[in-house]
Amino acid sequence: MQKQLKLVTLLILVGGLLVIFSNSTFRMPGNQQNYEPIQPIDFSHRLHAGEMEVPCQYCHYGASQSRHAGIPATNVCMNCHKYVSATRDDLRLEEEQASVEGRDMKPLTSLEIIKIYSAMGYDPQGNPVEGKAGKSVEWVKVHNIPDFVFFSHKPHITAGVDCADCHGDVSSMERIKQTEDLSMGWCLDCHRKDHESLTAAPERTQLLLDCATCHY
Amino acid sequence: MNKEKKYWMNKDETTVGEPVVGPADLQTTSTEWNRRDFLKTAGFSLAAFMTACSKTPVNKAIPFLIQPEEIIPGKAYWYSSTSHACGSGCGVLVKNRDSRPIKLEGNPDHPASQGGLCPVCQASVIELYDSKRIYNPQIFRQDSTWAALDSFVLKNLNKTRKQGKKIVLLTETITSPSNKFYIKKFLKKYANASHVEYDPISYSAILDAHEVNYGTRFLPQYDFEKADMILSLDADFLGTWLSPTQFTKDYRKNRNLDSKHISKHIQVESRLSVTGAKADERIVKSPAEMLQLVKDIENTLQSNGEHGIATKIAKALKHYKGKSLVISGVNDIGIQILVNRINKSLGNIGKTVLHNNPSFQKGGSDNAVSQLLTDMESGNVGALLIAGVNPVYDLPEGESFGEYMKTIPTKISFSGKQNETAELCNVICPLPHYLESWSDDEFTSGILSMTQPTIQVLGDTRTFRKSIGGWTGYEDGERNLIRNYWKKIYTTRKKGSQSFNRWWDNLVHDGFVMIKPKSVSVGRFKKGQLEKTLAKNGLVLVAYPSLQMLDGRHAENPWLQELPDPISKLTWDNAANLSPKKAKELGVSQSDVIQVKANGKSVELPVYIQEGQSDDVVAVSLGYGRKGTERFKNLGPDWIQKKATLAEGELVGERINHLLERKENILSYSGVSVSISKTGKTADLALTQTYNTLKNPENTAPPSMKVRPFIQETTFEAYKKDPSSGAHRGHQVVTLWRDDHPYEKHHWGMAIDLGACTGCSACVISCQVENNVPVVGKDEVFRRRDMAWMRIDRYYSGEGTDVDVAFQPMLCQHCDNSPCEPVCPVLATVHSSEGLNQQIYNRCVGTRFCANNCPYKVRRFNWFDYAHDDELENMVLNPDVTVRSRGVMEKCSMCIQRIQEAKIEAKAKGIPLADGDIKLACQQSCPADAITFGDLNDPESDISKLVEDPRHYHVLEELNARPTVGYLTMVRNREDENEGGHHG
Repeated sequence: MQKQLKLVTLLILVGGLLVIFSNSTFRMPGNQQNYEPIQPIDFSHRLHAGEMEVPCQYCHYGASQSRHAGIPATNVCMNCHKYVSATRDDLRLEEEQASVEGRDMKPLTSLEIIKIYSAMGYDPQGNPVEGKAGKSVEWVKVHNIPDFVFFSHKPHITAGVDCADCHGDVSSMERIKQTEDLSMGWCLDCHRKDHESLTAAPERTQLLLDCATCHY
Repeated sequence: MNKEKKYWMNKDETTVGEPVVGPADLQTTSTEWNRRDFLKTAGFSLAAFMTACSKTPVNKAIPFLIQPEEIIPGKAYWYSSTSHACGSGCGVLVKNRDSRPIKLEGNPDHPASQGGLCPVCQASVIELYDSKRIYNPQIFRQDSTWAALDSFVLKNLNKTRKQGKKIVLLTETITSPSNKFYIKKFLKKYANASHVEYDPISYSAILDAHEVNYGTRFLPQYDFEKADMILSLDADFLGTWLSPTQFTKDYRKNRNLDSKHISKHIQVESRLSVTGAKADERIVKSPAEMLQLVKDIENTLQSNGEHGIATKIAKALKHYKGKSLVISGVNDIGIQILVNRINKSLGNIGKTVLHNNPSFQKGGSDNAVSQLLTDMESGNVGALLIAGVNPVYDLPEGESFGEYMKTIPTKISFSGKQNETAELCNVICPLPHYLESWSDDEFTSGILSMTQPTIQVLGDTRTFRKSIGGWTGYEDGERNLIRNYWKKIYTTRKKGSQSFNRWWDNLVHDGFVMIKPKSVSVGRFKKGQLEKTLAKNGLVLVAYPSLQMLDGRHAENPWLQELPDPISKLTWDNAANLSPKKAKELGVSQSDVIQVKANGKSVELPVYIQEGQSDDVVAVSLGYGRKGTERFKNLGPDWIQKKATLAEGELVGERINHLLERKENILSYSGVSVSISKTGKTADLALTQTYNTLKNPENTAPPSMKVRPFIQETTFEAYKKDPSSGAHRGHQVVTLWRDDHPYEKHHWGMAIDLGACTGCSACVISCQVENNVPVVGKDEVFRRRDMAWMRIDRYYSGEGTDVDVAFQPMLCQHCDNSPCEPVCPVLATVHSSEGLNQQIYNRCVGTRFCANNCPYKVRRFNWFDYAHDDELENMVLNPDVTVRSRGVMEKCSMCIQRIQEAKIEAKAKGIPLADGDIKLACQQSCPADAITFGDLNDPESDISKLVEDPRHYHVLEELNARPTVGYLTMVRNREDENEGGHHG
């Protein structure tokens, strides 16, 4: 019996060391840091938030009013993409081609924008099709928080926390990626800090360290 | 107050304060490993290994395609509407999250609900998400389309008209003016059609008595606020009678202890009701004795005769001439005529009994039903349209009604749910739930209440209005059918000079609008003839609507089925309530199944021994034994020792309607002679108060003192002399705890006024809805594992018919020196910086030490993952509160989600939290305004003032747990039995 126990302990130790010194990264279950799933539409935050400088809350307007920042509804995309159907480069190319060939420009829609149009139930030129119903785009959720945690965007926006503090430099991401581990320790790192820097809060932000700040 | 007054809960108090025990198979004493242990461990290791290596599931985030402009996901919106759960017509505010209603609260501006809401209405929201509702129109039990149904119905109605047979429209009381209009048109179109209204719980005698006395059939309004002296003869007006929420609100207003006098309430009853429990004086009389008593009171008022207790009551009534109110819930025309006479002679008409703007809540006629039964029997009826009622269940003649129905060729049911009557009909027009439909209702003359949909209609349903309107040529949308009707007539009824559009918008926004009251022509008072009624002696049946089930229309509601009866604490059943003396006489004891026989019909019921009840009475609640409740058969967690909630083919409780009889056509709920025989069987009664009872051992008392009672009580007289009378204060407790927890920001506290609490249980359901408290099923309740975060402890004092009853809402006391906290080995329950005792589910490992150490017995353990299989039903869950999983402890969180939301809101607005910004679920729904919550750090807050009130005390104060939930002494307006309570 004693011998067996020693053997088991040794095995566990060796196994543990192997895990720690192997090349794979060891992380706790539920930690999805660096998660960067393929999305149904190749939406580029770099282009929209970076190059075009669309403010975060233009699309994620729930952030200042609700728990959820919200994934924009397809009709929000259409605010711009009613008119913008392809990249500028593609359009220039077509314009040149058309002038060389001495014809009118063909309507151009990039492959990704066709996906928006078809979600809305429109044809590839972005015109409504009679009788065709739309279907919401099923995005893959990146930033996941367990059900036993209550997180609300609203107070964080109120307190003047920058979106990038938690979501990373989205304006340089082609595809959205979870940069932080979103663990409780990571939350508390910030909650423990003196919040003097957050001037947007009307009364100086209280240090919120009670369990029931998030868990209920 | 009597110094020796002692409150008790159960006759057998040996079950008090037992530890939280698990299923028998968990308590192994052997340390040897057996096969099962090995398999468990192996299985766990494998599961842990697999979890660690498996991929996190991919979650989808699916936004709207086209976002409705005003909706932001995650934000709650409130819509005003009107409740149709019981027919009293309370105004409600519907909390709507992501386009679905999840909680109902009373509309504070509405004159009926005044902010409170009864448990039945609170619970009705889950019925919206009932996947067993009827979602499609049906012809001969086959799903069909509305077009096919319409042509089928019209063809058959025309055929009936040609045959010269009667078309009968059988409905509950129609309160909607537009419905009345379309019914009128319908009756005009089909000249041989007639309309019969009846109420499942009949109020016919009151209306009929008014016809005798005043020449018009109407139901007056009662003003409890103006009544300084209330004599209630078996009217459970704080529980189930007519409009309990409104009555409780009004009743409470005249019991403000700061004023010079408060109302006096005398209850005469044969069984023990919550209203009786609340009464200042309670007189127990059997139905026969009650009739005699009313006669005596009337005689004494007229001629000053001497009739013992009747004289005493009459004297008191006379003293409050014009400020008294006499009501009776007995559906007996004789008693009601006497009540009218008494009110008339006391000059109460126009003061507390209002004829000018009568109530339209109940208008059904028992005479008309009797007439219909005769018609049906003789085969004169060719088509029967049934809406809102379930006669095969409701009526004592239900069985024959079902038989007669078989001979009727066209039977159309308007019902949202399958019921005893609908299943006999050949056409079913499914109704939407009231939270998904439009309606306009005038429950009380002069108040027009609006019901608006708060969710996209879930099935292919339509309202009664749309069906009847469509069949008479008014084809339009649901909303327009109402709007167009009011557009035509609003000038005749509106108050003020608004344009119609403005008026309509206000109506929809506010949920109600005051209009010119519709008066009734009240004739000169006639004394009326009393029939010579022979009072029956011996054992009689008293059938009463239970507070949870009412007439049985909510039998499919699991929340209400599991809500303990406020008095008996019985769940999932009805029982034959017998007084202890009678039970002894009959040789039966609790849980014995007896056969109750009346008029040649019988029913088998388990015995419940009920204190405070007349010895000549078997009291049984109505509303049980409904078909459709067999769905609860397998409710509850699945495990090896599971006992099904119901046996095969069994229903929840027993139907007793068939035992009732009619007296001169009027349905009589009390007074049927019954005989009782033993069956030798026993039943498991799922009672909630046989466990989790509080205990204050004598040795906890400070030296040379007695332990303080849980219920502290005084009389109004004593209170006026000394506001602290009855409260046992002044004990100085020596503490070993350091005062090292300064609550710098907020310190939340609560006070519950025992003088106001009626035990109605609205808070219990409100808490359940708000906090996703699961339903566990009968077997689990029986095993003492109910999950209610808030319970109402019912205490008796005295014995036999002479008991006093006290209610004490019991919830986590959020003690500053919480006994649960130091015993948690993993710090899953800790104190917050705002004085709340927090329970952290994800940290809890389920040792249950905390529950064992809690002197208030308010912690609940998740023995299982309780069913959340029904996806539709899950829509009712509050997304702001975690659904707890197996193996964790839970308890009242002081609605922390509401506190957080209010704080976030205040911060966003840049203003400090004001007192009253946070209303907890229990506090909000309380019709008696018994619960106050607020910040103890704010000296101006209501709660701080109440803590300083001489009536304020803590339960189990000697334990020095320093609860932040306190109670206020109960004050009854009765003569002093003894001089005030002891001090210090």
